[in-house]
Amino acid sequence: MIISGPRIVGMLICLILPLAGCAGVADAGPGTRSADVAVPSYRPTPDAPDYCDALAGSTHLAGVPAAVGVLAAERGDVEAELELTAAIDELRLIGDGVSDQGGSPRLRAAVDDLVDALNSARDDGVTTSVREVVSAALDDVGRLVQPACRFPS
Amino acid sequence: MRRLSALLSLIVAVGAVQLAASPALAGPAVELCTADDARGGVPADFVLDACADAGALTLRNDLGVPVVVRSAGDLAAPLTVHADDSAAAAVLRLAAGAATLLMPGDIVRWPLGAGAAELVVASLPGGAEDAIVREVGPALPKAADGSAGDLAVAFARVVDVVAPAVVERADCADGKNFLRVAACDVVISATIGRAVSMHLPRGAVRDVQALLDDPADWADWQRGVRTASDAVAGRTVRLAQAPVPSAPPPPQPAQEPPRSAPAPVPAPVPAPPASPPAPVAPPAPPPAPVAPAVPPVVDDVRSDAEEARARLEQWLREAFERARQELAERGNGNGNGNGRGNGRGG
Repeated sequence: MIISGPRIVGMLICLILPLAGCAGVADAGPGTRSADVAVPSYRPTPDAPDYCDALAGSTHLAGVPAAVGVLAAERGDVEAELELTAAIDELRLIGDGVSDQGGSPRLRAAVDDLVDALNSARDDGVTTSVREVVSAALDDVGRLVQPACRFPS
Repeated sequence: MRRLSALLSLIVAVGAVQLAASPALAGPAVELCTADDARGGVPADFVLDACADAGALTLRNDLGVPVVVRSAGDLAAPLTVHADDSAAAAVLRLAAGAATLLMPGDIVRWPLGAGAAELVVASLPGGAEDAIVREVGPALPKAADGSAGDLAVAFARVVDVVAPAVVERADCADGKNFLRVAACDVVISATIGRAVSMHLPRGAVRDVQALLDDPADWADWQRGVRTASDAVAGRTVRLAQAPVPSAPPPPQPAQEPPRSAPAPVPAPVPAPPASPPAPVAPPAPPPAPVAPAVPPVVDDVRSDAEEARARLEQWLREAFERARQELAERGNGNGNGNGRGNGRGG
């Protein structure tokens, strides 16, 4: 099959344009966030630790409630399990950042508890007690980071 | 001229806004029945259009939101005069449970007995039921006969669970950052997930869950809760009717010797009050003695008693006289004693 020159050019344009779009978002200056992050409007204060920006810029934490809801309805839903896995990966990085940046051991422990709770929801299913543990762990992390991060409410 | 038209436009606009903001006028509605206030009538600030007559209480929901009505006392089962027959209304009726649901425009009539009775109006128990049903109801597949069928029953159970969860989530998330809000969202999402998997057929679970599990909708539904509670707030929600007044008990006749007195004549039964043309004729009030009819009956009883007493006294006098005469005759003896003295003197 022979592909003509103009067709090749057209195909290249189709391939390149989306990449350029992604690069455009990636190259946007500081203070510009993608709409699918947890808190698009968040602007950290100068003295805020980096994990605040990491939390506000997370792309999977916001998906945790819906994933938990799906797993409450039907254990083993692959898409929901993948969403929780991605959130767990983000949280592990954030937890490391908390330790590296001199965050409180209590906050680090709270992040680890949240990781454990999400692992349990993914692997064991969402029972009432698992739901309560996940909710309590999220609330705990949110309460502990607020003085330093000052997230909007 | 331009200023005048602008001023008129402003007045019209302000009037329209005020009309929209003010609650619907309700209270007594004489077009629903021939009002009879003898047992309490309808409070002027009652939350719904209402009419009380001798045989029934009739309500019309003139609010823009559904309400539930709970009945107590001497009321028969409600009779529907006009009802929304949509699938959404069917689901909400099921979600209302034992209470009677009145969709906007519905008219329902409660036949009234002789005892005390009352109706109490409230917003839907969970608050968000109406908004949830309007969101998801159109997506529910219809049964073969065109009704929502068993799915309506199943969905009503889901609504029962999700409606209060929406209110709880709003309270939980108020004033919190995104992580703590997510903690609240985990609870309601899992609640929705469990409710749909427990009550809905497997094929409908994912679609309905996707419709219900949306934080933007929860916020809208919560606003609907406030609208529903505002519609009822500050108005009289209780419509009470006193029992039919009973006549005083007839006076007891004086204590007399037993006799066969004629039984008191029962009081005449009052004619049933005029009732308006209505789908169901109100039951006639129970027979109640009418005060003016009682005195003649009592007079008859008294005259009978006096006559009986006179006859008795006459009989006693005659009996006493006969006994006295017999004793006198014995005192004038004929000397035919039996002579069986025992001789045990002293």
